[in-house]
Amino acid sequence: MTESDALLEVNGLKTHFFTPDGVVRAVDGVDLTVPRARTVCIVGESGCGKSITSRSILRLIDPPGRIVDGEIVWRGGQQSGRTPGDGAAVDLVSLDPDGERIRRIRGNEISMIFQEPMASLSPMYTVGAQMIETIRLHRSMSKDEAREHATAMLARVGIPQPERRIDAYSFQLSGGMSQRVMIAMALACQPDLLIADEPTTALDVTTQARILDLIRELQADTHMSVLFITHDLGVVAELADDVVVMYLGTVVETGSVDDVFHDPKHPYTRALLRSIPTMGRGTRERLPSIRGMVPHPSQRPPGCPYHPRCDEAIAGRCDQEDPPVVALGPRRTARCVLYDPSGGPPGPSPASAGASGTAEAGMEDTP
Amino acid sequence: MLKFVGRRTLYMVPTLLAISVVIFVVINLPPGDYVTSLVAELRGQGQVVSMERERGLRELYGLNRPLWEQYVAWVSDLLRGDLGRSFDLQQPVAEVIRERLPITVALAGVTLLFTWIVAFPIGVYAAVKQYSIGDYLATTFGFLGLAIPNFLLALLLMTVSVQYFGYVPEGLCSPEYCDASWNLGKVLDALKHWWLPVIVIGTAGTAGLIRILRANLLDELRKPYVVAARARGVPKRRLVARYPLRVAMNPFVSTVGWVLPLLLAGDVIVAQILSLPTLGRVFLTSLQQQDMYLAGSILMIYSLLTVIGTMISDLLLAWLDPRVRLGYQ
Repeated sequence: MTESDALLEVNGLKTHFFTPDGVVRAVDGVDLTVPRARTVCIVGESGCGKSITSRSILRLIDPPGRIVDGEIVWRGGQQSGRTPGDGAAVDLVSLDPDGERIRRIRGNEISMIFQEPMASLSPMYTVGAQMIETIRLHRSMSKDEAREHATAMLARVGIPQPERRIDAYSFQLSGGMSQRVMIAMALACQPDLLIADEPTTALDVTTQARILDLIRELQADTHMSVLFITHDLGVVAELADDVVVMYLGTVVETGSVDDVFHDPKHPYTRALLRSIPTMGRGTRERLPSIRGMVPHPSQRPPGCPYHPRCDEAIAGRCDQEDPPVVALGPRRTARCVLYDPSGGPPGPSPASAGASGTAEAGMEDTP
Repeated sequence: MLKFVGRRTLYMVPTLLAISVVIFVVINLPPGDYVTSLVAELRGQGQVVSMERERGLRELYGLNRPLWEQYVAWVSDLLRGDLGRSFDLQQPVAEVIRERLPITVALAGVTLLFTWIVAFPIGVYAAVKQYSIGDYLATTFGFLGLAIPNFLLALLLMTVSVQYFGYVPEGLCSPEYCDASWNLGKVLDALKHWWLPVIVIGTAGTAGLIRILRANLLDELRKPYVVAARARGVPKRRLVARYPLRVAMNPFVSTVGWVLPLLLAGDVIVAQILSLPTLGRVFLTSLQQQDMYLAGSILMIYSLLTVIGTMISDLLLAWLDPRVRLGYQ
């Protein structure tokens, strides 16, 4: 992959929340790359910082939260030629979060859809009014043109009778319909990147499948990139080109979806994959789960954040030093001492460790 | 829409009937009646009032009849538009009320406007800049406003007025302007007199409304649709005004119903202190004198205004909020 293929590059992002009870390091050094026209899935348990990462990209973090370090390099805007001559990369972290530049990027170059589609639409205005507002914020269109465009977008995302639905209120639509409206609104200005923050979590399974199909289809049509945040490994397998596995504010493993699913490197990724229920596996067997619980980000353990729950943790090393990010190949990294080429005490070999999936006490955490 | 208004108007009839029963019973609850207080007063002046005379008076006023009969007579007169006679003022009740009702409603209306105009910007500011110095000031003012009794505030402001402005703002107009037609002088004079009762009666309501608006707006500001709108590139100012504020506006409208009786009740005490020509003063005296038809009629008028105010606020709410209009939840 050449450098210019990266649409979005997040380097060393740290977003901390300065609460009266202490600093919560919700995102603590995240690196990830979203290439053009590809889908990257961020996967992790609740509280691992995946949502905060996505909101940091659009600078939607409110006090007491603050981006304390890192850069978010954005190379969008060229595809549709909206900012002629401005193909240069911009570091989103350097922008004023209430400023004009980031406002032009939001909803225009980068769009976002959310977990609760119905709550994400204001109940006081029709969906049409909200769509037209967004379109007219970023495009010089008359109200009628914008309305026409909005109707076309609603039809595009598979809403029946769009001429009628455009005048509906969010509370008159089902969850699936609301999410389609949100997608239509997000794509109305042909963004280069769609950030989807668990867009199907609040929907039932059939609706979820249809929404995923829709996103995949729209992506194929428009060649936009998608940054998809989820805790559902099934969704990842279906949708992703690349996978970013997060744990407690850090990226523990990245790679293509095939690599990560078939040859997981980090003990956490392996444990996550083991805990997916599969058809046909002994029905009387207990589903393996990861022991313990995700600690609160304010009580992050020293060293590798995963070591208290890790079966392969090396005492004296994992609980003391920050694990290095080890490049295992092009776009393939794991943040674990097990792969540290600079030596250190040889741990148990990854292959043998993979089989040690024991179901321990404490089965709260399924991915 | 018309159906809604019609239905609500129909509902008002049983509501008002029920209120009339309660009013009548409550007014008759204290021991004795108007004749008792009249006789006590006469005796206090050294006159000899025989038992016969007392009974005669009672018969004259119809107070010897059973309570339910008195009630039926009162209500059927009310329905015919006859509010009865005031024992004490020796005047038809309708006349007493007609003289004072317009100014009372005007005062309540101006006070309500004052309440809105002051509460709105402060409430929005306190929510948008939560935990700023301005927010703390607004909170302090709010609690003070709620905690200081009206009469104390009235006395306080009167002192201030005498001390610094050199006049006692009694009544609602100076004698030379009271009967004059409207001109600049009268307007200025009105301003000189109205500010005090408006502030005194309106402060508690203002403080309450600030707290309500702040809390509502804070709730709304945290809703996902606000973040979603920001993520679409809606500028901040416009975002607050168009999205959360629209929802947080609801209490403003719905207060019309309950602020009105509050203002009228506030008027009772304040009118006494500031000698305002409003219904509040007459109402208090009528209660003390057990002038039951006058007191009952004033209460009925207040109730009618409240019921109508509630309906207006419901209509406004439906107009403002599609969730109400379209019957959601």
